[in-house]
Amino acid sequence: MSRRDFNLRIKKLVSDIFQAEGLEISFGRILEEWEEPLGPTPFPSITDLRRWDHILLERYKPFYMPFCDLCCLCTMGKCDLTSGKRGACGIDMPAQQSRIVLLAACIGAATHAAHARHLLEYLVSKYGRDHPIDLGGNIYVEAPIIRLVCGIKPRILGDLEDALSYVEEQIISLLAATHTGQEDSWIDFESKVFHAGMLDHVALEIADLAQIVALGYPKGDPEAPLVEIGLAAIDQSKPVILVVGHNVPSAASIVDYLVRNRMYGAVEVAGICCTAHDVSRYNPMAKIVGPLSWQLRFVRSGLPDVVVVDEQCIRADILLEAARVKAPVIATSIEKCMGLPDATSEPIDSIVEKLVSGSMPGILFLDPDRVGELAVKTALKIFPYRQKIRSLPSDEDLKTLASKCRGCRFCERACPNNLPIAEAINAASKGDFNALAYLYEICIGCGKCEETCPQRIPVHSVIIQGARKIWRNERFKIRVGRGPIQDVEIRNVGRPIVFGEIPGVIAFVGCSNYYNGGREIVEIAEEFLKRNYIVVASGCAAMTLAMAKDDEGRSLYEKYTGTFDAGGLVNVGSCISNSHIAGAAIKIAAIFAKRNLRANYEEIADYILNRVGAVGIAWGAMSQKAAAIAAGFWRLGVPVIVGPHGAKYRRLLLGRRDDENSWYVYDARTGDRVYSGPAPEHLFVAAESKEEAIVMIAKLCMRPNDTSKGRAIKLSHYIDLSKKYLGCLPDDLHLYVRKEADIPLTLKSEVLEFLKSKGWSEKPIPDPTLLPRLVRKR
Amino acid sequence: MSTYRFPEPWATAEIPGPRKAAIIPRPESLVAILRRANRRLLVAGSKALDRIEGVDTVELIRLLHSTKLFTIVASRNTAYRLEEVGIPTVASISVYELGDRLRDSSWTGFDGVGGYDLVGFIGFPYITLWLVLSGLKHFAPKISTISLDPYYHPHAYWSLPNVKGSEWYSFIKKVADSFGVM
Repeated sequence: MSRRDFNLRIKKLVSDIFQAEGLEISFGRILEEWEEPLGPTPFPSITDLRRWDHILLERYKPFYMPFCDLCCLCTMGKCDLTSGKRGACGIDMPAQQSRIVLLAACIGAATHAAHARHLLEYLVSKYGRDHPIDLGGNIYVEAPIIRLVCGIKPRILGDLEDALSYVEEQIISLLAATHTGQEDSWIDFESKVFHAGMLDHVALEIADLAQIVALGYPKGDPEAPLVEIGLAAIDQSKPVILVVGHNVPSAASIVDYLVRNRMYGAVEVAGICCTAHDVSRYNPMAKIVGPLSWQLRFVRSGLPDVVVVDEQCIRADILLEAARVKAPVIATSIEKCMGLPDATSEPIDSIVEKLVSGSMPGILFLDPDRVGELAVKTALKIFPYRQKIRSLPSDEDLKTLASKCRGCRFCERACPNNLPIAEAINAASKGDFNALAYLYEICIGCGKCEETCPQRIPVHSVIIQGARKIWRNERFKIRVGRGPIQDVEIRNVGRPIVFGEIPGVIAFVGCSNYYNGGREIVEIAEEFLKRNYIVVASGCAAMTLAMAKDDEGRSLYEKYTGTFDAGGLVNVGSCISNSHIAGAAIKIAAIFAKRNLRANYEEIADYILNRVGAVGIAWGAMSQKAAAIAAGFWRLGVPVIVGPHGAKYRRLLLGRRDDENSWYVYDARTGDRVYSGPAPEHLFVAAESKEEAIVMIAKLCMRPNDTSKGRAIKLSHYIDLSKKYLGCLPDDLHLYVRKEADIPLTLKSEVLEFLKSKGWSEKPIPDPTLLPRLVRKR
Repeated sequence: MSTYRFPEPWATAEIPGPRKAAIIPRPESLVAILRRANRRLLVAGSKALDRIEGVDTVELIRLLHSTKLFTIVASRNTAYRLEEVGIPTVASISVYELGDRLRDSSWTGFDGVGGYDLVGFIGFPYITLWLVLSGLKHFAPKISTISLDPYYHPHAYWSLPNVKGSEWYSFIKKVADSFGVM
């Protein structure tokens, strides 16, 4: 791999003898020394960790579920790959499926890397390359992923450029591997998927670290402020600026302009998706509307006066939707120009006139520092004219619209969740809106129902209006994303996690493409919070967790502490804050176990797989970014469970508990091969139902290294949850009991009886590793 | 039986590729298919406890169980409820885990005797079954898969068409009656 080791960039150089613009000079890398020795894989190439990937993939084999029987990526196709056929290029179905998975992971990783690049360049230009990376006195391992993967210790913003350049180079190589005639083996495609995931995590860390230190976000503060979330949290008596997307500078610019001009109370800044997380980290007075699935309902409600979009997960029809409510759109990212004219160089007041008059429905404006002025001036000026125009039907119109339905059910057949829409519309035609309200609670807001309606009923709008009583009271509290986990917290929980006494760390991540509404993940999370698991959250999932109240009117964030400890609920922040979840697992190995972190990926991943009972839940994962994030966790040894829609990622990585040979590890003390039980059983699995997911989570938290005390605690939850949700003892219980001491005391006779029926006998508890080089006895 | 003129997936966008399921036109056809098979597995999904198209799905599973043709397994959240109403299951298993085993030609089934040559599915979220059937179509080519839900599933080997609940019930009832179930 070619490495640029020292970079000099000069924007413009004028001398007597020559002029230069965009001059860039690279020298060999200066690998800085610090207290840790350099591990075996600094800046790993695509193949440097291939051996580790193959170890994982031999145990967790892909079960492919092709979304399409064809390959249509080149002009020799389309090629039919069914029944073992190969395409014109020679590719077979497993390779084609893993190739598509790699493409998705590359898209996701590239998106995060580009996000990081924009953010880093902006912050460097504003705060300087030498701006220190200082996360405060409680966080010394500031960049666990970058240290682990790249082997560098970033001290200033400029140091992050090195890691980012590496990520960009690698993603290009991975993408090249998907070209016709390149990689042709499923296992190597999958290895590359893992590589893309690892790169994605580096990019996530770069982006979030940069914005935390430069923009002054909370630095691992368990008491980060509580802010409001929900449609009803938005004050509609004021001009409202809606920010949608993931990349915060534009939203921060709006906040800055309002603060600078002492206007903050006069204008509402409300966010959807991760920009909402990040703008609330920047200024807790900002409000959060909800996850990405709230876009249609909020725009159609007419509340936003101006819509400012940056990048990622923004609806492709947001310009059309905003135009219907006469709210101008300001596009601020080169990734999403929306066909709009570039007005960056125009005077602000002239643009405001065009937007307010409606002569332009939106503009592209690529100067983040001036977006604030533009958005605020537009909002203030348009507010009196708009009068919160809605694109929702009136209550009176609801019945009339509903009565147009002929009951063809095309809406249901387009609905990703096959919701009983026709029945609800039929009831609405008779004046009963209760069924519409039920739909609202589980609808993912995609709008496909009305796209397909032959009667042109605005089905989604009908659902929203039918549920108006719900969303007019939709107001909850969420704790602002706190960013990293403190080193001191890791010291406190490292031992109980590794020995199993804290039964697990459960991360709710990803998007809001839920099969059965967001309420399910609230129920899942609370089940584990009550049981003293550590629950962490990010992105849309973190928002969804806030959007339910108990009998006393409290959200989960008000009920549970924000500390990374047993029974804590930790919102780390936006999508890019997922790096802190991976970072926490890595820091357990580094801080608690004192394993060398620096460029030592394989050993740390082996440690996490065998010892850190962490599980990711991406219950509504939708995007390619979510695929890349998950892939990063797989390579790190953290299993991920997705909801029913997550199976559409086309393949799962499943272990076979009935295949004893899959579950042998080395005992690092003796070098013996020892049966460790199927722990964790899967690396990537979809759950069919909430009940199955809950029991699966408890099971996937078990690790070969658990002490008997820890395993007994984990088993007590596994057994209890299995009885509670599945009505029986787990049928694979005998595979997880190694010694009689593993059996929870209160369940001893029942479990022993079961074990007897299975012919169970005691097995040794190893010091587990999958890497022969880590065996200490020679 | 009301069917669409051309078989199309219930979820209209879920169009697969060149090889699509053959529709089972009449109960007698399903009876013949079942009679030809040697090792039949019936898989009850995570929605099997719900009413699907207004029909009590558990009642249909009971009818199919009464034919004494099937070994029955069920999704994790479903199995114990079936047991409670007197429908024995040999295992509760995630349908994805089951799919993973079925595609393994060396797998010897839940009884250790051998694999299955016919697997029927009932009571699933549409997309879940669509995906699992795709996996089996491509990677378990020796197994005849049958969708017994009231929706056309193109990735199955055989599938019911998109039918109304009443027609669905009547179809399954006639199949059960053919095996002497009262």
